[in-house]
Amino acid sequence: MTDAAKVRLRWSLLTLAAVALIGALVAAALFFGGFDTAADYPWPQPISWAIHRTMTNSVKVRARAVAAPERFTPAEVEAGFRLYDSHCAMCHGGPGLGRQPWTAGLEPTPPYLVEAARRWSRSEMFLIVHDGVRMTAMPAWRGRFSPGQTWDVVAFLQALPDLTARDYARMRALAGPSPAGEPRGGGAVPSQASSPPR
Amino acid sequence: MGVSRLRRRWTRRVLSAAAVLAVAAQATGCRKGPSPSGLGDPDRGARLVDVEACGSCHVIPGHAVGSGLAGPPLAGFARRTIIAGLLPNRPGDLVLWLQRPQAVAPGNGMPDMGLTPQQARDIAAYLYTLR
Repeated sequence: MTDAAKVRLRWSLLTLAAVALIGALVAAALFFGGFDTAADYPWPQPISWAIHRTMTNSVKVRARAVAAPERFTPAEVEAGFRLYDSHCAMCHGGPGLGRQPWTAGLEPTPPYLVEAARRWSRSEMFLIVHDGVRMTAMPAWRGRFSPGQTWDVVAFLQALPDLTARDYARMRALAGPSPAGEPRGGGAVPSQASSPPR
Repeated sequence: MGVSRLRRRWTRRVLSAAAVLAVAAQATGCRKGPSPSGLGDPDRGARLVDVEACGSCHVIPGHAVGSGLAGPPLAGFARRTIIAGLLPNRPGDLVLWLQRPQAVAPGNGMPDMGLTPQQARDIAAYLYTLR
């Protein structure tokens, strides 16, 4: 056998081995339960980094097509607060407000959004709420919220960095009891924080 | 090939594998057993820091996703003298703060996260590894 033929043989064997390995891994996952689909075990850090980058850039590119309102009215912020408190706070908490304890069973874990408006533009926040995030627990809300309501939520997120825990508790008190059938988000507002300002 | 040479070669392989593992364990911050302060398990605490989304509001060394600025960065936490500008940075006070920040400082931005006492001790043990 010539040297060239030997090299060719070695490469084809290596290729074959690689294909067989990939096939074995796929088969192990598909047919033999080799991939653990449990919700809460952590990804290795490089993978969670890659997933996060993919999501960030997907949102940033697609949000370019979304035109955001110039400014939001206090009424929109108020409407957004009601939607946030009844639909979002359970997973995302609020200022001084914890998430529901079961959120610890989600991977990736839903972040607190106190700083969301510093990281994302209005269009990007609209898109995340409207479309949701694949392979996380974030649903697409487009079936539940009208575009106007989604902008209300964005209006509230925009106002969130300026709200203290006491402000949030006050807004809750002003909003009155939650509408029938709507779950109250987040944990309990601490009693001290919900007392009227001195 | 003599038996002793084969054995030497395998010994070398095992030793180098062990060395690689040791370096990897060092690099990933693997720590075993309870912390010196007897608080909790710092490894479990490090995991809880991710699970409880602490990175939404805090920059935490080695925890890439998150890195929020709403709360203070946690680097060098073990050397800090005061927690939240209120409590001395002692293990008991830290565990109390982690469990009930709204009781310690009503209306502050850090939420009561519903941590169990053991979880709070684990996170405290982890925070004290940040020198």
